[in-house]
Amino acid sequence: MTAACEVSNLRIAVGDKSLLAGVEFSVEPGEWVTVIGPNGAGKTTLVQAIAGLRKFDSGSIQLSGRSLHGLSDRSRAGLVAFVPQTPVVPEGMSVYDYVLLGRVAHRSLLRAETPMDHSVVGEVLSRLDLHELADRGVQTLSGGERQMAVIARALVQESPLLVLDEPTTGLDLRHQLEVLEVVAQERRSRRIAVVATLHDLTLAGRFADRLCVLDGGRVVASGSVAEILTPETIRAHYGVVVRVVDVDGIPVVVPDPRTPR
Amino acid sequence: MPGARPRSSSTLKVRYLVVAVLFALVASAVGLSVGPVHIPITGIVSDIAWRLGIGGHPLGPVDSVIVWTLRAPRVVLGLLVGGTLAVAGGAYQGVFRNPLADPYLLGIAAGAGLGATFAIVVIGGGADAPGVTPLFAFAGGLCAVALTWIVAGRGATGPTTLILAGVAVASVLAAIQTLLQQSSSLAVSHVYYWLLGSLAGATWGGILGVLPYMAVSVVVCIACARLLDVLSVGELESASLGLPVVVVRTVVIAAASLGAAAAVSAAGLIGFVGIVVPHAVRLMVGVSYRRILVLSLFGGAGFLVLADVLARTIITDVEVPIGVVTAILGVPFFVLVLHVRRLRLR
Repeated sequence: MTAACEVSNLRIAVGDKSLLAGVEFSVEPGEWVTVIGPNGAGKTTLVQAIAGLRKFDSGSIQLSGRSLHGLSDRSRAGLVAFVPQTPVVPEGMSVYDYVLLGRVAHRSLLRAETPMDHSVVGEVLSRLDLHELADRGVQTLSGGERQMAVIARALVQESPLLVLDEPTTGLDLRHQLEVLEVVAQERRSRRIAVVATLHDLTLAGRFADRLCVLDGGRVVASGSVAEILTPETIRAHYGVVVRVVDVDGIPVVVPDPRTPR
Repeated sequence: MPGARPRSSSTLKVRYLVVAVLFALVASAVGLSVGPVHIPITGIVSDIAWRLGIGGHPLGPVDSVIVWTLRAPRVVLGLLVGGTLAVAGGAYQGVFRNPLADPYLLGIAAGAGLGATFAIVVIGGGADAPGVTPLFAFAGGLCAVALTWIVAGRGATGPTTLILAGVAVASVLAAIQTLLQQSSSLAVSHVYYWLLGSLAGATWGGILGVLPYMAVSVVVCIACARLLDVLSVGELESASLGLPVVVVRTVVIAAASLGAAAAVSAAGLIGFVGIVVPHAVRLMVGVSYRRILVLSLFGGAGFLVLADVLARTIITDVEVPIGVVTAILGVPFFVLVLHVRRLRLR
């Protein structure tokens, strides 16, 4: 089966500084891979490159078997949807119109929206419990509601791959869970592949099939949650001593209180 | 419920359009009727009906000349220039995502000013060179935008670089223009008059000369309105949604600049229309460019015709520069809209 995303030997440098130094990375259809790693590891650079928003110096990225190079913006948007770390909030735009923007790639650029576009938006708004908010201005929403709107916009793109850059930033615990649960549900029911970056290791472990550790622009470890969330791996790449506690089969990562940093 | 009713607030409502078109029509009627000689609107309507062969009575020969030879070209040029500048300004605001953007942002004003000054000083020998000045102003305006474009790295860089490049280019061109203007004491008053802007030179021939450029500009900008709405989420996100950002930016800037240069070549530097009209429209009908651009076309058209009526009647026997009127008329109106909107939001 063709991978939803296949990255090989990806290199990106800015001046002398290498941001990604030969990344190998792949995601199968319907699979959820979360990229973890310390600040400055290159997580955002990697996910932006996968979403086609960042030029790379060498290597290749394939989306559903098609090379990112030479894809038009429109075709690319049909293969990958992106939720940025800090979305721009357009002033005065309603939630409905905001989500509708996600359909731009589904018709030629100068065409008006079709009934199909409206029906997809309507469905996604209902699934995400946003229909009550449809007429509200995006900038009037709370942080959690706003993030749901951004995810709704990405979902109406109906792409086989969803890329999320730190989707829980600035959200309280309940909204962090809600956002990730919605993504999990959508992925299950529509077999969307998910690539996310997350800082919270416990949440990362709870929602991913596979974790991928990025450090210094390289994938230094990749595997199942149990394989990656070990005190050794975390200490090696984050420089922090932790304990990994098993709570009903879910690994919970806690900094070791007895070891001062 | 799946497939629930569309709730988009970006579609153009018919009633808005009707109001805007009515505004432009009323302004035109006022423009034809008001002046040193007052000619009743009913008489003009009756004359039009007579010309169309559906009843009515013709105007007297003198009134007919005043309306159709003196005032009509001026009204039509006012409609075209006002509408084009407002659409171009709105398009610039969308492309730069900057509420302060106006059609002169990328150096059109300075370039057209230099072109016109060159025509007056060098070709006209210090006097206005009819037919030549507009051509040079048009070329100067477009060259200035092209220069800004090249200096900024051909659109590959972001809008901020473009704006800064525009400032740089405009400063240099304005300096050269001043130098050229100072070299001929004869030219100063002509140049000055041109810079302030006026619809007094309107002729049917001149109108036909600028109409194609304005038409292309307005059609392209309005066709891209939907894409400007997408662009409101920023360059990165609109690219992720499938928008070819650089192409859209290039096309819209080129189209808006073409229209603005044509407007400036026909009527000089009329300020404020391009910034106040789209903003006023935005405050009244919302942020979607699909509404803003179409309504600005009619709003700007009517606004400039009314401004011109004031310019030629406010002081007997003297024409006040229309740029002065657009500012004096535009600002209070703008402030009013701003406050009404704020009160409604509470």
